[in-house]
Amino acid sequence: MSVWSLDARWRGDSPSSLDDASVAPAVSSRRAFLLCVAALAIPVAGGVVAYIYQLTQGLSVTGLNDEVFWGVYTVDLVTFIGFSYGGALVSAILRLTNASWRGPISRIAEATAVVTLIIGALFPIIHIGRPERLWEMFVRPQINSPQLWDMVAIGTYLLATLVLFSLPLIPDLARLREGNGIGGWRARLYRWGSFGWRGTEVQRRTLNRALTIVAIAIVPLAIMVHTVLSYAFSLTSRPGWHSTIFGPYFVIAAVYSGIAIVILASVAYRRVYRLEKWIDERSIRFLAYLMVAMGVAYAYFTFTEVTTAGYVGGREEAPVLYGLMLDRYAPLFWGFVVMGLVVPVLLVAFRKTRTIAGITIAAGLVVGAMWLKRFLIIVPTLAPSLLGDSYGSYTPSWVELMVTVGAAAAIPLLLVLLFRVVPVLSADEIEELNDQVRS
Amino acid sequence: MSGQRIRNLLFSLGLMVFVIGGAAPVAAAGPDTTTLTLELKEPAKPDIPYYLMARLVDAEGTGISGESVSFYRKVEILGARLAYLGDAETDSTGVAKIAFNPSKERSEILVRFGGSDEFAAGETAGTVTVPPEAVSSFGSDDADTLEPLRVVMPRLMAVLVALIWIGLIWIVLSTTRTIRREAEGA
Repeated sequence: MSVWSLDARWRGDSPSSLDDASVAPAVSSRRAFLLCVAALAIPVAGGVVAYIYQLTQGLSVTGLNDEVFWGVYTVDLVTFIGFSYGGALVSAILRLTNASWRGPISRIAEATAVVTLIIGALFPIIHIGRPERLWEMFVRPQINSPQLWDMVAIGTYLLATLVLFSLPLIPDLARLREGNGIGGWRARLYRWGSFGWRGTEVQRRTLNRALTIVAIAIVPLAIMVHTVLSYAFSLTSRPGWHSTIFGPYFVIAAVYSGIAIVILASVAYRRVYRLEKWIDERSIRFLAYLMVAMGVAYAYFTFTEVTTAGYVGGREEAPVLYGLMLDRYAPLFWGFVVMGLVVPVLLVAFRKTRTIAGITIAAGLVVGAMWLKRFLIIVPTLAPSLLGDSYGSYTPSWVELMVTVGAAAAIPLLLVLLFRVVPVLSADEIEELNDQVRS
Repeated sequence: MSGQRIRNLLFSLGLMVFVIGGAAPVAAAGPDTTTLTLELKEPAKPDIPYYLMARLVDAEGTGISGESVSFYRKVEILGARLAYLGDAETDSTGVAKIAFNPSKERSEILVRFGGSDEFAAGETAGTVTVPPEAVSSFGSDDADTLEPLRVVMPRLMAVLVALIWIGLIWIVLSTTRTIRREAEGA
């Protein structure tokens, strides 16, 4: 195996073999890696500083108030965990259906699922004013508390995504045990993590069976866990949230935005490390088709939600809907509809714009618009007071924005660190799928 | 004691008398105190419902009319909470009443008067008892019958989650063990 480096990338070279391509981020220039880490660590550090400031000053430094008591932090929680479910579901469903094009993107999808879940799971802690009391949930658990079950659901899902991410690594780490130009602790990790893999019939059968079981388990698990997250809203009697469609509405949103983030990550690695030969355009295009299908489904859910509430026009629902569609939040709502539903679908629908660049723009719009949609689910619903005719307002403070930017930057930072260690491509799986296609 | 100090003392005492004497009527001008009492009116005939009756009286014991009174039942569903039964307006004798469909032989009832400009807020609680034959089957206001679900469901969920954790960990351990054993065998 030759050692491909970022120097080669600067010369416009593409990795010459699948093994070289899979370790391209791991063997690239150390200086470029450190620069990238430093650039991403700056906003992350800013977010940490802002959180420490919030910790010392209390939640009064946020824009939250008596009426709008959930804000950007809750938006971040739902959005980041949604990214995770999307990544894991894509990987699991494509594995179960044995989609031949999944190979190049499965590792990135699984890693994205793990990383975004870890970041998203921090937000319930960031949102509480006294995080030092969190341990009470472990030592004095209240079995009927939705908070406890949220924690259990996220923890269970994290375990499942870690398993889905780590088991397929075994054959790939085995390929890197020797002769890859990577030494030191990473070489020791590859030897330990490959568990003596030799690619025998029994080993392959055992691994494939385990992966199939985990993939089967993770699909209902992801759906249930994100439904539990939606219960934080729909199990309240608040107009605008108390809706039976919230479970599937949240799940579709998660898959929609999750596919978009997988596209963005795949395109970024494809471009930076010249992996065009391995992460082919077909895989990105098929992902885009899936994303658009989810987008259309999400548009249907949005239409159903608005139509059902608006047609009846109940005394409590009407001000929420009016504020959302025609008044204070109308620019944001219609901005979401255009930028999050219409434009991405059109970009993928037309052959002329169905290029890597067009798909990347569509995915970027989806990620931004779905963050905005979560904001529109939370804030306009809380703004009209349930006591009298007053109308609350909420503007995120600089602290909340810095924490959000820091968390968003932490996702690529963790991916960069992760793929410095583990292969970015599931080389063994790609070869296996190619063999299947050839035979 | 000098004459000046005696004059200062007398002035202070006079000021205190003036302030207290002036403030007393202001303090007395607040809302009148009220008393709430609760009783259960039994039906004269089987097809007539029970009524929860609350009587709102002022400090002299005179009924206060035209005020709204709220009735709640203490229930245990996802923790102790109050199930709202309804509001009623007091009549000329100060009595407010709502029909009551008991789901248990003993029910703890809370009655609240929110207060007004004239009358102070108040509340009272009491236990009402009905004979077993008067207890109705499940009704829409009857949250207590969900109690078994409240107990069983979270525990079932806990078992399910534990099984998922055990299953996932077992898959990882058994897979890696088989792979390692096969490698050693090879």
